[in-house]
Formats: sequence, C-alpha cells, structure tokens
Amino acid sequence: MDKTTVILGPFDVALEEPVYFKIEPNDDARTIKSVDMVNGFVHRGIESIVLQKNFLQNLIITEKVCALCSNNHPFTYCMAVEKIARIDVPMRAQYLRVLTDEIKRIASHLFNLGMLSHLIHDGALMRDFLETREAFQDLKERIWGNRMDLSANTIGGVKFDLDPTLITAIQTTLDQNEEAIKRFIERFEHDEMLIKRLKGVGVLPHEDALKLGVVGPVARASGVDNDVRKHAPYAAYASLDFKVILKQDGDVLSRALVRLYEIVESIALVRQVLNALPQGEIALHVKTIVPEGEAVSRTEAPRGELVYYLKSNGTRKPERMKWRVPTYMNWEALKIMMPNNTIEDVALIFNSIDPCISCTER
Amino acid sequence: MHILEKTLNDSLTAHNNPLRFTPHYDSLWCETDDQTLFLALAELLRRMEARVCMISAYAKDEAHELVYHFDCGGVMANVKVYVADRCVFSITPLFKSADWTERELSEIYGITLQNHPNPQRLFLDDSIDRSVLDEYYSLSSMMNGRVSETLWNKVKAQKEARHG
Repeated sequence: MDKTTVILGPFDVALEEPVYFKIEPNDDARTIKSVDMVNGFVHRGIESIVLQKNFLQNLIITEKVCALCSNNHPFTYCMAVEKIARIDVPMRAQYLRVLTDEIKRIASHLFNLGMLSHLIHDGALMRDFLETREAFQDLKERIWGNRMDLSANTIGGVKFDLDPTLITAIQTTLDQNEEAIKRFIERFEHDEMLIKRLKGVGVLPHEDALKLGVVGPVARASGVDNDVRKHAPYAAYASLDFKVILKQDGDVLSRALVRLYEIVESIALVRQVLNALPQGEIALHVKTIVPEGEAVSRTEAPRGELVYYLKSNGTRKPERMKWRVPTYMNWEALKIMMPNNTIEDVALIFNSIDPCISCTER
Repeated sequence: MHILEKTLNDSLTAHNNPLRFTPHYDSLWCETDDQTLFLALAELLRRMEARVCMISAYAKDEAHELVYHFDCGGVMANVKVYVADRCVFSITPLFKSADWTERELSEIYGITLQNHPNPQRLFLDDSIDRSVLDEYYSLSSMMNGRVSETLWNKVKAQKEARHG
C-alpha cells in the first residue's frame, strides 16, 4: 500500500491552539508508526518582556501566560518574590490561595473532560461536563468578578476576601454539583461503551513516565506520585487533608479518572478551607522593591507542576525570570503514547495530556 | 531538606567531589565553574532518582550562568554552573527530562550542547539567528502574527507614510 505521511495541524487538532503533527503510518495505513511535532507558532518571548516590567506589573503579565492555569502563574510568581523579600504571607491569605487554586482546578479538569467527550463525539456527555463547569465559572465570576483571569494574588497575599454571602454561594455550588461529579465517575468506571473507547488508548508506561519526568494527572495516571501539594507543600496545603490520586494503566481512561477523582478531592479541600479559614489580614502592605537574591517556587497547577525561577538585583525589575509549565514536560510523552494507536485518535490522545501550547511556548 | 543536604554532601565527599550543597530558603544550592565536577554530581543525582524540573540560563558579564533545578524527593536541589565559552556538556543522556530545556537555552543564548542526542531547535525557526535574546525583533516579524504578505505590505506602507 502506498504510504503517505499524514499532516495534522497546525490548527484545530484538539483545541484551538497551533501545533503541527507529522505522522508516519504503519503498513496498514491506519495506525501510527511514529509521530513528530513542530511547535513554536505562539512563542512570544514573554520571558524577555517581563524583564522590562517592574515586579507589580509582572503580576498582570504572568496572569496572561495561560487562561486555564492563569491563577497558578501569578501565584507561583508571588511565592518566588515573597521568598526573596522574606515576606510571611498571612494565614488567611494562604487559605484563600488554596481555595482559588482548587476552584480553578475543578473548572479546568471539567473543561478537559468536556473536550474528551467532544472528541469521542458524545455530545450529551460534553454538554453535561460543560454545564457542570458553568456552575464553577459562575462562582468564579461572583467571587473574583471574572471567569478566567481572577487576579486573586498579590505580592504578600490576596486581593479578595470572603463574606458570609460568598461562603454560602461556594457551599451551595459544591453541594449542587457533587452528585454530578459522582455520576461522571460512575460512568467512567462502569459504562462499557465509554471504557471500550478509552481503555488502552495512548498508553504511557510507568517507566517511561519516570524517565521523561512527566507531571500532573499524566504522571499520576501512570502511577508516578509527584503531586507538589503533597511532596513540597506550599500555602496551606500542609494543614489540609487530601489524597493523591494514582492509577496504574497510563491510558486515556486513567488520565480522565485521575482528573475526576481529583475534582472530588478539590471539593473536599475547598470545604476544609471554608471550615478552617483563619481570621486576620488578607495581605501585607509591602514595598515593591525586592532585595537582591534568587528563589525557586512551584505549585501544582491543574496540568501539573509549575516552576518559577526569579533572580533579583535589587532594582524594580527582575534580572531574570523563567518558568516551566506542565505541558513542557508532558509533550515528549506523546511520542510514546501515540505509536500503534489509530490516526483518528491523535486528537483524543493529545487532549488527554491537557495541553497548553500558549503556556509552553511563552 | 537537611536530611537530603547531608545525604548529598556525604555522597559527594565519598566520591572525592569538592562540591557542596547549602540550604537557602526552602531549597538546596550549589555552585561550580567545573563542568566535569558538575557531570559527576549529575550522575550522583541520577542514581538518587532525581529529575530535571528546569534549567534557567542568563548572561552574566561576558559569560553565562545556568541554574539546573533538580527535584530530589520533593526538595529542589539547584546547581549553578558558570559557562565562559558558550559550550556545555549535555545532561540529557543522563536525564531525558532535560531534553527540551537544554535545547531551549541553546537556541536562545547560542550555547553549544556537547553530546546532546537531539540538538535541534525547539521553538525558533532555523532562519532566526542564534542568541536572539540579545537582539531586538519586532513581534510581527518573529511570529505568525504576520498573517499574509498583503497585510504586511499595508503595515509597511503605513509605517513608511508616517515616517516619510
């Protein structure tokens, strides 16, 4: 049979971000022999731009790196600044940072699962996922005044507080949607059609996951336990009780299940935050001049470990600022996941790493 | 963190490696300008099942500094390496997780990677010069924002009209 290299992309492979797949098929002309990816379409040089802005302006820039992880970027950046400036963030702010991150995680995971449903042409399931997500989008709008970029963090704390009305709104949203999450889990655990479609697709074995250093739900679905919230706790996570979700099969189904069970854990975390929310200040009033020094900080974004390096020379602007996003580590795993799967599953497997091209290329 | 610091420093001593880690904030730091010692340290970290989280590079005077960020059992072990000649040994043969971050620092700062298994450009097109962070490029000439020649010609025409 005549062999033709299949080109997918650069647009609309799974999401509306550009990446370009060059796929060499096997002799059967329907399964994948090897895959190469070309990227760099949205490299904007943001790491250079931040060196021209002061430390407060960079709060805005970092929030714009990515939409779905938009809270983690300024959050992790603030942690690095606070380390260099030796700022002890008030405990109430630490708890509020956890609350923000977990609500973002719930919405982000639901979006990824909605896209999964879209890619397997299950419109009803997609609608259910996105309707559930909409409740959390509405909640974000109510608390922070925005549905994506929340602008929750500032150097030395957070910019928002919760009053009894907002606390009730959060509790109501959790109560109203918890059953829906459990129903999703029930379907992904027992629906034969769904399991048949997703099980064994895009497998990343445990050894490869370790070797590649993959992070987030991609790692945990292959049995690699590297959740930053547990292994290098930050904010208030050390005081909160939650499980790291691990699966062993490393396929698309496992990655979906990890995200679903993580939503359950996130709901429990938000409830714990509301129950244990300390009284006190939400932010310290600090000067924006950061002393000379360097620091590394990291958080567990919805897609996995996000790392920031910050070096200050005592001026109002950073001397060097670098960050590494989860997709950056997970991308190479696609070369292990895709071979011998059908070409029609490229988008499904790609979506299962919850890719963010905008984040990765900066 | 202090347990890891002791474990690492004891292992370095046992291997006659003079490098030492010291705690700073919540992570460990170490500095060297000897790449052979750094490679020996990287081998030690590999045996301890560390992974490369990121490598931060920046120009310093006429040279470069590379900060290797390893996760070792939940603690960040940072190793700063001074590079005077724009040439560095790759650690990707030891850590597959270093692949992308090494290629990125190579394309941005023009640092040559020795013994890298796949030293291709990561993000930037081959037509763009090395060390691009040292130079100014307008965004529209650097990325696909320049949608078509038709649009670009209009932008250029307006610019020329404005500046005579």
